[in-house]
Amino acid sequence: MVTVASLLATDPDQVREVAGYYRAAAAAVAVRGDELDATSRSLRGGWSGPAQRSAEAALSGVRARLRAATGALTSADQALSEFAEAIAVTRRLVGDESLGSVGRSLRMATAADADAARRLAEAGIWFTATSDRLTLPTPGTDPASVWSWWSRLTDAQHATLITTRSADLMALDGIPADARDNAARMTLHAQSTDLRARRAGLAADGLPTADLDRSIAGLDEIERRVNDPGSATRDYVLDLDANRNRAVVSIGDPDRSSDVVTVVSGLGSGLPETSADLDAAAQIRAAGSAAAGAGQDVAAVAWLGYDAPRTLQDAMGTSDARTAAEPLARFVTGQAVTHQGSPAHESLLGYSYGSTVVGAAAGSQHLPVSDIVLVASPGATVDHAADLGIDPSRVWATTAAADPVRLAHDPRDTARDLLTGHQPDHLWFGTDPTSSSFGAQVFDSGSGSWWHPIATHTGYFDPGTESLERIGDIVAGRPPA
Amino acid sequence: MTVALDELRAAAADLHAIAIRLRADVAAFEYASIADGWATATATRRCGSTVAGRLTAVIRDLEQDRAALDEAAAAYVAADDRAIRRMPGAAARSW
Repeated sequence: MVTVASLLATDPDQVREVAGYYRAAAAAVAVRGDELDATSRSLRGGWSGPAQRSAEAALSGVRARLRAATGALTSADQALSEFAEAIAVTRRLVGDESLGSVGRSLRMATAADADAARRLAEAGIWFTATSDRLTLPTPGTDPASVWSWWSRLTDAQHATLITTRSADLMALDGIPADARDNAARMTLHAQSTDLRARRAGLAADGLPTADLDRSIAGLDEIERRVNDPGSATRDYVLDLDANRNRAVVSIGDPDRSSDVVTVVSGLGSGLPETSADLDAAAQIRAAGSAAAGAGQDVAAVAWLGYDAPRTLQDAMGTSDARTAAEPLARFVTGQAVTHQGSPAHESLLGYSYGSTVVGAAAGSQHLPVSDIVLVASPGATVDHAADLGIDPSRVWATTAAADPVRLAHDPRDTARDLLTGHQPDHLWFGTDPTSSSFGAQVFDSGSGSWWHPIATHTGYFDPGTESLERIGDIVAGRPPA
Repeated sequence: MTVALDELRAAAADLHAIAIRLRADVAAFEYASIADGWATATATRRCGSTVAGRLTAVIRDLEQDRAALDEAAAAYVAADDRAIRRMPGAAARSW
């Protein structure tokens, strides 16, 4: 049993530092594997015959062991990172003066210690690949079925799938976050290498490379960020597909956090702009953590799992939002299915066009979320908070007075207004969520600046802002008064 | 059968370079552990030792493969045209 003395003597940052060593090693070993792939390819190009085949088989075996080592190192990083989080949470709880908090914190710390030790003890499993031929669920399978399938497999089968079917696995909702993260990290450097090879091909043919340059820069930034050994938070890469411009990254483990918010961004979001979206998610997580009570921990997911409109013209229709509704619903459902322990308090936040996506998803299917937050919304495709499928008193909305999104009116409405009278509450994609007729809980985000309308529209998640503080309260399940 | 000796030698050099970098990767995490007093501390040391041991074996195999590639390249150089056509089996033995 852990004691108060040992708990207080253990610095979470020191545990994070050790996790960082494992993270850096995992990334480095993954790169060695990719280097070995390149060597095998070059050999195949200049050598053929039985000896070459023998050589290739030998190198392939080494490659498999490097992937196993990458999996083991990533798994150790995850276990240690979550252990550091648990230490931080339980130390706060010890400082809490409410009755029974010390005993509760020691129980939590003991459980976290046992969990981390168990996960670390499984390192050897990564090197016992099974030869079972496993059939994966098809993409789009409902998360409960995926989870049911995954739960029936052994740890060795999990390890084998993560190392051999990583790209297929990370795209499946219903797979636990730690497995998806491990699988995604297997592919991270190789995806970057592939993009660079494609770019070189385009450049050699004299074709424009600007789009690929931006994707490469975005992917480089993700790689740098999620592999940063000095990071104060552990990022979970839940899906990453450079070819489809998709990235889903969670700040913190969504399967083990008590409060989870999924953030959907809007116009222009995607791989090249992931850094800004990850910054926003990190700020939201920090605000949620600041508002959280003793024993709570918060994860924030940047969900860039849809074809976000690239231009204002693209953003004039709801087709992107409606297409995104199903994958978003599947993702959020998968998150609820794979969560460990007590169900998490789940929130879904849509920003700008992302609020239209959130509205389209929540308005068309049941989402297992407690709170929905619509920030700077041009309309959520529904006319009333009650149409979003949750208790309308848990639907939140904010738009700064000077935010130009308030001017997003459909010209067809203008024509109709001339005939039937002005409807000031109607925005481009439905009733303004901050209007009284929508029926959401409206919270203040200040007036913004009339002189800097773009900065006003993009400033909701800036540290120190009223909007971020209120969002943090909601994410932590402590709704603003 | 085709043989590009430059590719073979370059691949051998690559394997050696990968092995050297891998050795540095192992050194970076092998002894990292948290303070005693937790089951996690012991488990971290064991995990580090397990993975480091596996990677050390990989490094050894990479160096053996490098040597085999160098041997194969040398065998191809030593043989005349007719012998090269018979080489695959001989080179395979070096694997």
